[in-house]
Amino acid sequence: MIKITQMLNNVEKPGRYTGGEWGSIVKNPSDVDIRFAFCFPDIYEVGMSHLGLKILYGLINRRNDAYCERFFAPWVDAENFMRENNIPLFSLETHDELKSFDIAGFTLQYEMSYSNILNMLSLANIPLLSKDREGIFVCAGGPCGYNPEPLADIIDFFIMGEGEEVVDEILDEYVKWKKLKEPRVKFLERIAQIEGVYVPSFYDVSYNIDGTISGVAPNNINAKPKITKRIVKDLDSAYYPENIIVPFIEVVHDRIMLELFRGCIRGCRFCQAGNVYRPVRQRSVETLIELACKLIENTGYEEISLTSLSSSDYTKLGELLSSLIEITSPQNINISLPSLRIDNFTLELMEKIRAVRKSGLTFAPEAGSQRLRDVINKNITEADIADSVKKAFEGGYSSVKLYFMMGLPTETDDDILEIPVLAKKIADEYYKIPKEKRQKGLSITLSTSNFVPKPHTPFQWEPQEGIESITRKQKLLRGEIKQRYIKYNWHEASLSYLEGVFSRGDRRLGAALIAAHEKGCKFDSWHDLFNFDSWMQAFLQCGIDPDFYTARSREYDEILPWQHINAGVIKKFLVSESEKAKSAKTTHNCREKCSGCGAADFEGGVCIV
Amino acid sequence: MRAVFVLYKMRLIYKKAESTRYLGHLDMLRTFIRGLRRANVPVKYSKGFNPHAVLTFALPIGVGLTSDCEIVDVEVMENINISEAINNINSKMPPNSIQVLSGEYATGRMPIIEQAEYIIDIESKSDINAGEINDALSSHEIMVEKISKKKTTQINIIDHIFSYKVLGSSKHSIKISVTISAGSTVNIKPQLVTEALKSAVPSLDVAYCLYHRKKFIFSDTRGKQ
Repeated sequence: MIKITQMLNNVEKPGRYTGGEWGSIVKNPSDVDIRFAFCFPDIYEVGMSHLGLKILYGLINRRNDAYCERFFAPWVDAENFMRENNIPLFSLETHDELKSFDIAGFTLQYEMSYSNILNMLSLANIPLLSKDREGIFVCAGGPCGYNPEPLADIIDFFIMGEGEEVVDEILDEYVKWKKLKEPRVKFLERIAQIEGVYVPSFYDVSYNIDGTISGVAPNNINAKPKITKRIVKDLDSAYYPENIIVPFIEVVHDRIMLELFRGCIRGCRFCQAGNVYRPVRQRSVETLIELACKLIENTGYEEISLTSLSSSDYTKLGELLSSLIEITSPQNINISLPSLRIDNFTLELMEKIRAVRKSGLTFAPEAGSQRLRDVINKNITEADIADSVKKAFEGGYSSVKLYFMMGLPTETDDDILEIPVLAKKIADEYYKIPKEKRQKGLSITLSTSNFVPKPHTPFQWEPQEGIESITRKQKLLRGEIKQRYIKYNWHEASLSYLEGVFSRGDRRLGAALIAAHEKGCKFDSWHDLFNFDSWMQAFLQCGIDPDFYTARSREYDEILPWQHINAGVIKKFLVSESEKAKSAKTTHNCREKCSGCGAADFEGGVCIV
Repeated sequence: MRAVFVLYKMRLIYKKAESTRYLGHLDMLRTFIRGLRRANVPVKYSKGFNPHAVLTFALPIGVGLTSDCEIVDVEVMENINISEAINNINSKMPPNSIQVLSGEYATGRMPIIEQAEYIIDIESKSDINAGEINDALSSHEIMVEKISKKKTTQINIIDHIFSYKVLGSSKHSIKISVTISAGSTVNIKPQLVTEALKSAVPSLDVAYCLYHRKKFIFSDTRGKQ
């Protein structure tokens, strides 16, 4: 404890490590059977912004027999102090070390946090490899978990799908296992029988001479040949926290998050979330208003954010906003509404938001040309965009942000050059409005990220564009932007390349992860700390050619590393979408017409209604 | 009809306890406001594009300090019962963080702070020599660099120490109490006293220090607490 006090007095932001916030749970660890460590592989400010943490923290702590505590990756200054003074990774609640817990659960939000998982385990003096581990079980879940293979040697078990469904079943088995004092493997065998649980060590992977996979076979009688994700069928009756932690220090998303729905009706072909969170399930206005009232009362927050993958697709958004504003405006609470789509953005809706929110507008056309938007099934036309920004400018907005992707399948330079043309057309809409009627200071921000093909999407077989080619396209676009009111931001191509390796990687990458960790790789998504050369050396050292995972075009019949994971969308649908993309044919959204993606089997979604 | 403007200003004395030790002023402000909101205190909000709660602090307290004597003025919309409000606020703050000790409706401005008494706990890696530290504090001059946002100046810290006392010491730690200049004219942070001791007592090898603001001493020319 004295060492921790000393650390707190020697780091830049001690508030990250103290805990004790409003809403954090205090229990006596000796009163529980299970000590669960929720581990977020990034700093406090990022982790505390994550909705999944709030849900699972509340869900597990509802149990009298379990205590869920939080662990985050310490920032570099704190890590250095901890290593120099032999302070193991400790929880925010009790400051007890991770190693003394029963189960550690890591959330996999982005591939570039994998190195932090290893770093946190090493800071906790926990063996990095699952096979060397005793005591604590290390599990993981979250969107990246749909291709668990790169972490197969490290993680003891994965949870596929929505954790709130499965966690209680796993904890119940843990209690039984602990009471019977069974050997370690027995616990894994018990939970391998639960739908949605994947124990990677219970599977053998074999390879062809060309390096592709020849087969994945269970080596344990309790392991299922195919692991199917779990989902919450009815969000209205599902657990949602009514009291959440209110951090002392400012975090990235420092507000109430009200989750409108899960899934997305749109079916953009690049989007992993839009595929793996299917089917679309919506909360009712009544439930949302009730949750909002309780959360406002319990937290004292002055901002509430309506979250989902595409909030304007919430069928009763107008009704919800009207009811919500009645509650929030007398209490000086702001409403923020990210993830609005450009095509059904109505003036009326905008007026409503404007009553509470004054920031700029964000649109995501994703591709510059109509042809390419059809390829990716982003069903927005240029006319939609022009119409929306016209209304926005008339409504008093003057700042617009546009998000695009680079390196999309079939993309040519002509598609890239359409991006500044689109920006110019948006500017024209602004200048068409008489000077006295428009808000001063037009500002258009263009951002490009780099397309990374993701598992369980129609583009999972596509090659990823290389670093040099992406960098050239970024230069090309930069050269075309001459107007002072247009700003251009882009993502680092080398980071996207690395993300691509792990996104579609297999379990042979585990060795490279460990090698990179030994070379000090961590916080890769933090620009200043990303060390591409160390990663390349790590691959070289392990005899891995990273291009094998990114640059290659895969055949439909290749066994993909994640093929034994059922994320809800069936291969037949993905192949059909992939073919339609090649001829730039679009697909209806889930509310217009069912496209037979397979998610209907899970029930509870928009597809049933 | 003409609205009658009435100002209800609660002056609260509160503790900044261990859980909030490492919070800076802005974090404290945010924590305070959210606690007031949870307690349903009808805090007055400023007008304009970005309405904010109207709170005035006597002297912002920094990262690393706890306190027994913080003062804040909170403007409220109506004449609420103060002792009920204090109970509500205290029940809506995280344990061991902010605790309101007393309060009253204030009419005047904040009292003017001239000095503050701090308790400093020094943990040393080397052996503590309490005599040397006492000698340093009773000397006539220890020059230190006072760094503010605008400029860096050399000051003799002894001129700003009005009283001191060694409260106790052990092999590696010492607890001292100092009363030093505070407030808007000259504000000496207690960390500067440690800096002075480090330069005057070379054998002192500080591992870390804990600071606690014990009480304010006000100017008697205007206002009272």
